[in-house]
Amino acid sequence: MNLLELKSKALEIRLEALKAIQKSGSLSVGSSMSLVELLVSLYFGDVGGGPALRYSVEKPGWDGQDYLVLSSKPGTVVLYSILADLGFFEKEELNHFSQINSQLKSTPSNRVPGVSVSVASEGHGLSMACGLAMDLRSERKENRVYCVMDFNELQSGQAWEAVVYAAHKQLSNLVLIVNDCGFQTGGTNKSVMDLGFIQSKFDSFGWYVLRVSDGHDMDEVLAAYQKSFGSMRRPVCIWCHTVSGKGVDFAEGKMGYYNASLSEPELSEITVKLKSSL
Amino acid sequence: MSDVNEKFSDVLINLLQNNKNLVVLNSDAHKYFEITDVFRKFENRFFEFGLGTQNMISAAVGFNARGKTPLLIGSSGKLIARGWEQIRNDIAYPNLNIKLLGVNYGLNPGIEGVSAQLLEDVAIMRPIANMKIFSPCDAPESIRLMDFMVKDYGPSYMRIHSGVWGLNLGVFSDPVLRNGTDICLFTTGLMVSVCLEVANMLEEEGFSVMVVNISCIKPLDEKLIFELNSKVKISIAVEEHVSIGGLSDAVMTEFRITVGDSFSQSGQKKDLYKLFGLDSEGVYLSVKGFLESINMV
Repeated sequence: MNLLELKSKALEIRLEALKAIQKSGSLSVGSSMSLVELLVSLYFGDVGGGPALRYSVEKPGWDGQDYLVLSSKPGTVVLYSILADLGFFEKEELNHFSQINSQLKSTPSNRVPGVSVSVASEGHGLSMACGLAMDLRSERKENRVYCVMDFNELQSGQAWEAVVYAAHKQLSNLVLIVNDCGFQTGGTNKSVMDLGFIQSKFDSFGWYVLRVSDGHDMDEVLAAYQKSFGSMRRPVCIWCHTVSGKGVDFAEGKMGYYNASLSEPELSEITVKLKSSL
Repeated sequence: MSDVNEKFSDVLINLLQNNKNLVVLNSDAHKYFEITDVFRKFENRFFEFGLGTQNMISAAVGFNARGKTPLLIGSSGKLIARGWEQIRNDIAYPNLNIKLLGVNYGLNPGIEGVSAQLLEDVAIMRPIANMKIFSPCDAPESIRLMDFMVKDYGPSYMRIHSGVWGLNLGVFSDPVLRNGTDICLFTTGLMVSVCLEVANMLEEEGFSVMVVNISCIKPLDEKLIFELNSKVKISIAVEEHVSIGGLSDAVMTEFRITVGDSFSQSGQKKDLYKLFGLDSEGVYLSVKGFLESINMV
């Protein structure tokens, strides 16, 4: 997909995700919207003639596939919107997101076609990605493992156990994408638990660190994804600065919407706006 | 290095040879069981995680996503207690085929102290849905159950310690190790050998004592427990565990002989078993005391 097509795809995914959020009453407008471009670039973008993430809708679990471990809980609804768009399952399923007896739970489940790994807890995803990357390494496979994590997950101790492990094992087939929108439940990351400049932290642990100053600029995001292929013996961390509520103009950068749902009139308003720019 | 230790690494090597999808993940179990040989023979199927136990448990999910059956080894105190959230959310909730082998539970860590002496493992693992719990009484049963656990589907926890691994009580397939009509001792792990001794002591005084080895604590054969209970006058549970949440709660006996609602302390193993009345003398005295209290003596 070229950049124009990618932008339009991001709009479609945004709309689907907002509908599912509103219908389920999930409190994740700000957080979910912040990583739309990161995931859309991964699934639809071209990196040097091929996709960043290789997948097969016809054969989920195909031997040549790459793996995504979605550690970010608010990312779930965005991932499901993408998987439905790709045809892994019917779009109608999105109407039941997070509802009782639906396969589409609030966290990624490996029972959903297109999802390789269930993640239920913050801070656990990077460890799972390490396991995948290590297993691939032990079989001398070239497949890649991506992990998308929210910035505040780095406040948990287990994430750093995984950071040490990946560097020690030189897992260059592992790419960690950190979504940094500046907010978390309870306030800004800086006020709750300031992690400081994570670039030098990851660097000192032995990671190859790339920085994306605008995680909604898919040119910049894809350039970073492409660069990640060049890492030798080092796991890659792509630190992406994003905006909470991106694309929902009245919610952008507003703490109040980070952990909130949309009202019916708000959803109608933003749907009209987004559709007009499609 | 004792013979017992060498056998443990041989058992792992056998399991790896016979189960092509099995991988072993280790978090600091070296100090309890010698497993360096396993690493030498299976470099690509044995993975070291140091003290990063939580990272190891979640990483097992990644191995499993590629069709592997991870067997996780670590001291019970860390693997089960520190890793409880990872076990519940990452392994049990999605019902993944991942096996947990907790070594050195109960009083066995001795001088290592309270943090290593996990006396609550059954209590914290029993309530987790999808989880199975195995608690063998000697080395042959441990080997049999490890083999079964690896072939069986689903998350499971097996607890062993060097005291259990150092025993060979003979081959049993029936949980009823000896029959009796007065008293039934429901027991598990190291306490099985203790209860067999106690049964002999009580038999000399004219009591007919049944000893039941519950090596599968979950799922529990409730029908069997009910049947055995109805064959005796009194049932007593004996276990190396706190009084709450363990085998005693599972079999719901009239009387329980445990560590109590208590922490242990640092000390030599044999002194600790004696202190908590979990050596044969102590269990015998507790049983007698109970029989006296209900006028059975």
